Amino acid sequence: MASQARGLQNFISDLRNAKSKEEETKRVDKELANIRKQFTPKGGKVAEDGSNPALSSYQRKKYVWKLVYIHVLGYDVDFGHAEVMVLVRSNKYSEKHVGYTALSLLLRGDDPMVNTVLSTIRKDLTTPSTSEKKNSAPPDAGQSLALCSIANIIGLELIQALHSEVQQTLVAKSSTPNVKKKAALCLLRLVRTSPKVVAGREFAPQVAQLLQDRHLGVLTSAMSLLYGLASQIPDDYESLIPYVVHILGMLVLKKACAREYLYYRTPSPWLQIKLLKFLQLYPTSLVQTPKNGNGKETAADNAAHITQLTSIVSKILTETDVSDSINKSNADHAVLFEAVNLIVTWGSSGPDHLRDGAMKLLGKFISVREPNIRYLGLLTMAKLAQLEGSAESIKKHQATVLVSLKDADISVRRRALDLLFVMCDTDNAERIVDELVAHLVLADAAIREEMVLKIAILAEKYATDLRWYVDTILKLISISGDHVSDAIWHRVVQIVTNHPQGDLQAYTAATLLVAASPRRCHETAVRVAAYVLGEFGFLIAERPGMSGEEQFRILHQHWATSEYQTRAILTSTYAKLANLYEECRPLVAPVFARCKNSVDVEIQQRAAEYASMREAFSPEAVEDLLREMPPFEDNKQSALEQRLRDKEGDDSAAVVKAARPSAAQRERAAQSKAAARAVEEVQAQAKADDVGPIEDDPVSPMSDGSPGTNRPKDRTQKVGIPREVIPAMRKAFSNLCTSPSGVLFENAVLQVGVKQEYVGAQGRISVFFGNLSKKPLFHFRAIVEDVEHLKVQKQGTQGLLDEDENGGCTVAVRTQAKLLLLVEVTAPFDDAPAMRVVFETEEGELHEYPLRLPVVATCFMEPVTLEPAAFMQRWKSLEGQDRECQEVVKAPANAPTIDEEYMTRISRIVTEGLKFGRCQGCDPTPWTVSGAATFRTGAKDMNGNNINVGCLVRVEANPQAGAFRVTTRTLHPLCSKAVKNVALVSIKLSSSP
Amino acid sequence: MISMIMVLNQKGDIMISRQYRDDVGRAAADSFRLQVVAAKETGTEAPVKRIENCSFLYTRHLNMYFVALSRSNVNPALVFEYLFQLIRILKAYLGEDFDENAMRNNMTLIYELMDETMDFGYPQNCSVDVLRLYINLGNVRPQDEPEPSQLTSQITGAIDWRREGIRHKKNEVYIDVLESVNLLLSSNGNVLRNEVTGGVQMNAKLTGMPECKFGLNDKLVIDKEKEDRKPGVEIDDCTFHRCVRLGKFEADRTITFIPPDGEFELMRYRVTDNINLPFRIIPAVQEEQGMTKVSINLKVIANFSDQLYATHVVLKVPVPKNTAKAKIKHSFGRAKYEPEQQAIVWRVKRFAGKAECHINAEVDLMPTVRPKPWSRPPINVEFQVPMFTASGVHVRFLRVYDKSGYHTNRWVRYITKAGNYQIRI
Repeated sequence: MASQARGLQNFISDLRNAKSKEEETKRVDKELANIRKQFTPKGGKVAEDGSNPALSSYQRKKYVWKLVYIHVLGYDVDFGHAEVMVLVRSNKYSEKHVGYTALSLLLRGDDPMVNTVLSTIRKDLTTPSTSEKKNSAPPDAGQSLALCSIANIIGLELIQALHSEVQQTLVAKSSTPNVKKKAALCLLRLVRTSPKVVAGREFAPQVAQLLQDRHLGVLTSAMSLLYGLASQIPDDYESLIPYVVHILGMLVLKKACAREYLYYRTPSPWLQIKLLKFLQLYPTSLVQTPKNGNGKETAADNAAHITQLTSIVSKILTETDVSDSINKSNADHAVLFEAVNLIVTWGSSGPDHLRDGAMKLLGKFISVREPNIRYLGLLTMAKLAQLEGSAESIKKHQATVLVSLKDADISVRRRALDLLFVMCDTDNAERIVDELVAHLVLADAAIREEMVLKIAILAEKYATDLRWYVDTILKLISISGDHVSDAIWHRVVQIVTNHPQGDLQAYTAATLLVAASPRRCHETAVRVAAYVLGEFGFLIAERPGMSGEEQFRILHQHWATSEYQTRAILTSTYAKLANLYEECRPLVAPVFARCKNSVDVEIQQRAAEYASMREAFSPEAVEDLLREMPPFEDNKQSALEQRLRDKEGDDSAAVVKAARPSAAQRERAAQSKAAARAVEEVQAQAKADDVGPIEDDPVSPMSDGSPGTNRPKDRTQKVGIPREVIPAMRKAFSNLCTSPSGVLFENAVLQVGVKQEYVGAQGRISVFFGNLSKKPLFHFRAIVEDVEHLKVQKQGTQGLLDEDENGGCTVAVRTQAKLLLLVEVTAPFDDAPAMRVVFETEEGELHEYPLRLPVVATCFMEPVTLEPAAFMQRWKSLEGQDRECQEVVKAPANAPTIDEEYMTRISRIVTEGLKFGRCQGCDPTPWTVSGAATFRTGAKDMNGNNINVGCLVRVEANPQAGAFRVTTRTLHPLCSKAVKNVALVSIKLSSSP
Repeated sequence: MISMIMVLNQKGDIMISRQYRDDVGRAAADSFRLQVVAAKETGTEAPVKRIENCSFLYTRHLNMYFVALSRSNVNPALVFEYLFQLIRILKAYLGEDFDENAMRNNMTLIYELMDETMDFGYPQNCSVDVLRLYINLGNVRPQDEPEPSQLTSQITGAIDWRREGIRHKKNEVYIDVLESVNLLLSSNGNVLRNEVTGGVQMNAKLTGMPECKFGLNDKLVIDKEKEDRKPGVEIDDCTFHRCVRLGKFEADRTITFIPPDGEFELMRYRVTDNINLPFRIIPAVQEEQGMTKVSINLKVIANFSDQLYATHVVLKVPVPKNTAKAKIKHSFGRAKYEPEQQAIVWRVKRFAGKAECHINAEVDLMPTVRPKPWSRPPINVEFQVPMFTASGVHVRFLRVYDKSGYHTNRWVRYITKAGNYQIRI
């Protein structure tokens, strides 16, 4: 044929000789034009199917071949299908062959042309041979061609129309083995595109029949099909396990195999692997009897096949040996590793001796010289290591694995690293991590990043002492800082910030300061140091050589050499240092001044803002802004694990391992959870406690009588606050006194949310009124009472603040009205401002809810740290009738005993809830908590300074009696009372288990 | 400023690189190769590419890339002007179509030129006339070389483009006015874009240091002179060779200069109003019967005086991609379907003024499996009309004053070419 298709050959060689892409395109365009011309009949007489009847068979074949070639080169060919059809329909094998080849390449599954070929393909598929005597092609050639092109075209329509034919061909007695093979593979393609074409349960017996075929080629193809089907819906094909085991038995135990399927004396390894892979889909096959098994006979059969299977697997395990022929040993090992994988999937349900055997074998393999085997050994071992109980036996091989880490082949090193990662646990973590760190020095760049990531994860997971974790990361940075990604050091910061227990923060700050002191150190180290010193530098400022000034000096030496990103972090740190240490300010100011002209916008902005912060805000606000960051939210999956997942895909052993929390992690999590739980319980208890309203409690939501009763009013019916929500309201109110945001009131119609923030004597309170009902609320008004001790500026949704009863705004369904209050306190006070919420529903019901805003005296407190001596001095000086306020509260009966932990909670209430500064050291017993604060007001005294009131508080617990005594001493009687009241309520809230 | 100039071949290998500042390295060529040369981006992408804080500005000559690298905020117009000048200089030294081999063979010359034309990233004297005074390799023959002392004073003096003491037996000036017409017509005959860009090329062979005065029929000048002759042409923008005294032009719009010796481009200009289109083309293209046939009817009218004629007229009428056959009827020239261009190409060697021509084509299309609508690209026209200016610009006078007061022969030519002459269908 080569000599015949001269035009085709010339064309191809023209294209090959084309010097540039443009030249090639030109040639192709020319040829396409020529083919178009040839395909258009002269005189416009087109045959019925759109082809040119004048073309000879040879020409048609030649042009179609050219089209195919052009298509294969990547050019768009969207004509000539009519000629292809003619070829497909032809009876001659040579034409049919060209036609089908072109068809499977040129046609796409969604082309409308597909319909016209259907009948031809069907005919070829179902009628095995139309062989003429002259034709030398085998009789099943037509069928095979049809199957191939179906598999290649794969259009939805085609699948729908022909899948049943393909299935029939697959099982038909008349089909030759060749056709069966092709049909099985073709069906596999169809199933992959549209899984629904095969109904598993009905089809399973047919596959079973196929599996009884004696021809190994057919079996191999059938197994491919079966594996494809079973991995989609494993349950439907469980009944086939005995057949599979039988075939496996034939191959492994009896070595029954046709000569041509022996591969270096191994009976058809490909088939064996497929069989084993299929079995891996059923991890429970050893314990569970197949579902359709009924009657003793099946059970017996079942037992028989289980024993057979175990004997097969053990035979594979025992008989595989390293042989001289590479090909033979490759084939054997492939089978063996599949068998081990099978054991791994069985897990603990499999027989122990198999697992032990596998482990022993793998141990042997990972010490073999041959890298391929070692690679696979390490890979499989990592899988095996996930099984419970295998850890101990794997640890024996730790030394061997460490050797593999130094292998010449990077892929082996990767696997070794993987395995080490998986086998690491609390016991050997320190050793493995140290080994890895030691190896990191020698490791080459390709693997370093991965190693660093994994070491970081391990160190975090198994750190019994977080200081060790910090040290490890520091080592990583110093050894291979370039590979320590941002995520890793962010994690360090996160962990250090979230664990205020112990001296971790101070330790980290000190260590990092030392790490950053040399002139040359890695930029990442500078970044961590900058952040941590900014946050926790004050913890070590007292130590020699670590004063604030010194900290600044050490950090600033890196300024010139660092990138913009680092500089931005440094800028923030400087701001914090300058805030804490007076002596740093003159050092920091010139830096900021220079940075105001920085090229980098971020730095410029930070510098400008930090520099002008002091002028723009009150000192308290600045203080607030530069305070330590609050703990980070602990998200379930750390960024590091995410990265690992991105890199290795979901199913790698390492990822599975990383996702499991370690004991150390769990313990740490438990600590923080316990604290959170305590708070919750306290709240629940308070709810139970506060059922009855306390009449003289100034912070209670309503002080004017019981709001549940409807006050008589002349107009319409008026709805107040129902009795049953009062306890919840009371609790909500108390909560809000000490927290920045929350829900103040909620019933079926309305939800009132509050967000508040206070700076010194000023507060900003946003109140949100959300309509929870199904209908809009009319004449919605919120009336905030003016009190003399607060200057209030109100601002709200249009009409919300109307005084007129007919005014007010309308709150549509699922929307909110918003009220913004800016308050400034002018004098001490001991109650909370009242707010009435009035509205009408669509039915004309008038609702009126008297609420109280959670603006209490302690909101305006500012913590003061006092030396014990100073505290005592002031405490004594404030003794006296109207300066002191004292009350004893008894913990309820079901409250826990008062212990250390309880006292820390109390101290937290004092510091966080009441915003007092804890006075460490002036408490005579552990059962006492003392605090000091300043009550800031906006009123001016004669000199124009703001009037402030100093407040002292002391909570003394009596563990025996289960009671607390709260004493407050302030310059102002109202202050004393207010602080005492809030303290009492908060303690009551907390005195629940 | 420019940190480095490099010349890459088609594969992206560095042939020539000259570093003017040390803020970029040769390694930068790799990123350029990967992102531009390998991606075959040239032609479609912007000629400025920013990779890792480094700007790559490039242009091509044959299959070589001339790339300028800069890390600073450099004026791209300046960089490109330099690159074009560099190519122009190399053309003068190595021949019009110098290629890779020529570059390799004249490595030293090229480095010498690059050293001379740029200093620390700032472009220097790029005039070939001046360069040839002291770089005498390649095709540029040394003229009677001046004394080194004279040379210095000359290239640093006020008139660095011409040296003293040039002698010619015959004093001649050749003036070529070259115009190219850009036109875009919509399918219903509306003018979407129309402008003429022109240039005045001069070849001066004059003795001594002559002072020249040059005049076009510039509207501003003519109105001032108040001669009631034909109205002048409104010239929109013009740029001049640096020998022209701009101060004088600003003051009274006279173009006076001391010309360099030999060829140079005196000025460039642009005209957008009152343009005489040399060709009118009336297209009628119809797609028929569900994309099986397209019929094309064209009428081409030469819109200039019948004493003139156009040469090298080429009309490219696009046809759909799946064209099978085209039957073309036309009155003269040669027309045929060229699949490489996906167009019917009609070539006429000589098209007389005021002539009219029809062309008629029936195009048979091949049915396709996945029919795509035809995008109907515009008809492209190329032509040259000698002794015709589309803008109407003509040279009014050229006066040469020299101390010796010799006689000068002046020769003026006009040519109008098609730039982007397109008609949508």
